[in-house]
Amino acid sequence: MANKKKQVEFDLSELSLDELIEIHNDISEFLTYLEEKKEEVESEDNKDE
Amino acid sequence: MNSFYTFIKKDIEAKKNSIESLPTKSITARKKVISTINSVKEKYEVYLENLTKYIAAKKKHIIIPLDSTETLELKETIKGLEKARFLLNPYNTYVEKMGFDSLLYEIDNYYTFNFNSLNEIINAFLDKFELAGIKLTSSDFNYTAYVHEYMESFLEVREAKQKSYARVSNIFEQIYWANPELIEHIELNFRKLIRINEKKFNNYIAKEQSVIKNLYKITGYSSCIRKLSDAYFEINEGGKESISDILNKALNKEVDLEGLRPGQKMRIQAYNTLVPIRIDIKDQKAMAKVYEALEKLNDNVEEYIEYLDFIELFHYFKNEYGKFLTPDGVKGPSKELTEALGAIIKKEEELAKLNARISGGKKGFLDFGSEKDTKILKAKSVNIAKELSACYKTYDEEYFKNVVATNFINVMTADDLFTLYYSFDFFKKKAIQNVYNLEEYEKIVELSKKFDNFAQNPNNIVITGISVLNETNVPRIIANKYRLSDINISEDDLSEEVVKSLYNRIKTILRVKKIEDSSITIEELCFVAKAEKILNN
Repeated sequence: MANKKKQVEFDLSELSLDELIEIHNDISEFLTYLEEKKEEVESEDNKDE
Repeated sequence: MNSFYTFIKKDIEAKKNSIESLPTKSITARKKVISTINSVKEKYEVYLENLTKYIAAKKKHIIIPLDSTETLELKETIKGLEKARFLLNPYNTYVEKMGFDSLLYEIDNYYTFNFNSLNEIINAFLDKFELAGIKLTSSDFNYTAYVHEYMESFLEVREAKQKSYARVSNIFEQIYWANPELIEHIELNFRKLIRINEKKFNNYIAKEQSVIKNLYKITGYSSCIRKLSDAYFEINEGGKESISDILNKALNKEVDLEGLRPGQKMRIQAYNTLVPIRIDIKDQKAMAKVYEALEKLNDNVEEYIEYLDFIELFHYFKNEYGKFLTPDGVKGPSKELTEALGAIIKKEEELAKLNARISGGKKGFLDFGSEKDTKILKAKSVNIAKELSACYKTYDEEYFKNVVATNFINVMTADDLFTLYYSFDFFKKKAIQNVYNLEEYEKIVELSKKFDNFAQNPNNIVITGISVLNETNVPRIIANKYRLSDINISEDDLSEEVVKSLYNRIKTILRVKKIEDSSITIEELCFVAKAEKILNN
């Protein structure tokens, strides 16, 4: 909740159109990274078993 | 710099570093890592969701102009006038105007292309006869006893409006082994029926011509072409690549929008190579003239590129038929054509007599002797039909040669040639098939449509100056013309290998101009294109 509150405080209208797309791409890529990282860590669990 | 922008850039970097530095050796440590990842992921999914919603709302506020209704109406008028031109075409006859030549091409190539349905082709033939008020019955299909047998059952199924032609297929199977040329003979039977019903078809076409002339207020072919030319000009002016066209092309990856931004290599190169160095691109007055010339050059280059797509067809025609072009033209049917038709009529009469004997023999089929005779007669009729097939091939060749010799003279241009081919679908498709060595029917049809779209444009300019019999240096003609209009262009720019690069550079400048003249900025357009992709994912 604390995070959500923090996000609301940002004013997206101050971003240029190019910046909006750039940030969207950054977040999408970061989410992909997180997903892959999670799979990588989980696969180590499976190896141990 | 916006705080959210900075925050995201920094936060992603920090989170990545933090996750990478977390220990993962033990199960407990890995649990902690996964828990951290899940928590960050949850937060970032909310960011992404909100950002996507914001992008969607922002995109909604950017208005992209669409095609006007006027253009759509004009497109309808053009469609109607094209139909009128087809019906009023002075070069071809009722065979082409009824669309029989297209069907003859299909049935003639039935075995080559493995068409799915012979029935569809036969039904299409019968529909066309019915349009002209001709109701064919089984007695009209008397080319051979096998054709009669097949068509008798076919017409029964058609008459009963049954959906399944399974019974007909069974009969086809049985007949095929006795007479493998059955389809060819059905084709010849249709050819004969088309010929002997010429008057009725011409009457039907005359009525259609009268209706369409009244509808579009035209007096004949020439006035139709004039109206069509005006409509094409209007649609070309009004329908020049719009902002929404550019956007759609960008979405289909046909246009690189980023390359149109100021400072981009693609944009700089286009201006630097096409605009002479002495012209300042900030000088609006001087540039207005350049843009005007580039619009015209764009049309000419587009036409030239399309012409190059069919240059082999042009060479083929020149080699095969160039010798039939004379200084004054030829009047009436040639001796060879008259003879070819005479041979067909004579053989068809012979065949009709033979078939009458076969159907007479059928009545006495209980008599062993007459049954044997019938078998012999049937074999004879199939042989005559085979000979007729060769006669029709000769006739087709003579027919087209005669069309060339009677309609054109030795100053024929590429424009005339293209008009000729789009007027004769059968011969056009045969030429395309030969020249491009195509083995798939769909590819021939695709190329044929592409050809028609190009050849039918009444406002083609470049091809009106290309002689069929004499060499014409088209690149030189175009380059010289536009050098006079302050465009930096050479003959080499128009060579077959690099002309598309020239075309892309012209397009780049015209697109930049189009966007600059509109209510939308290049940044907005790029945003809309990217937002569209994000929102459709």
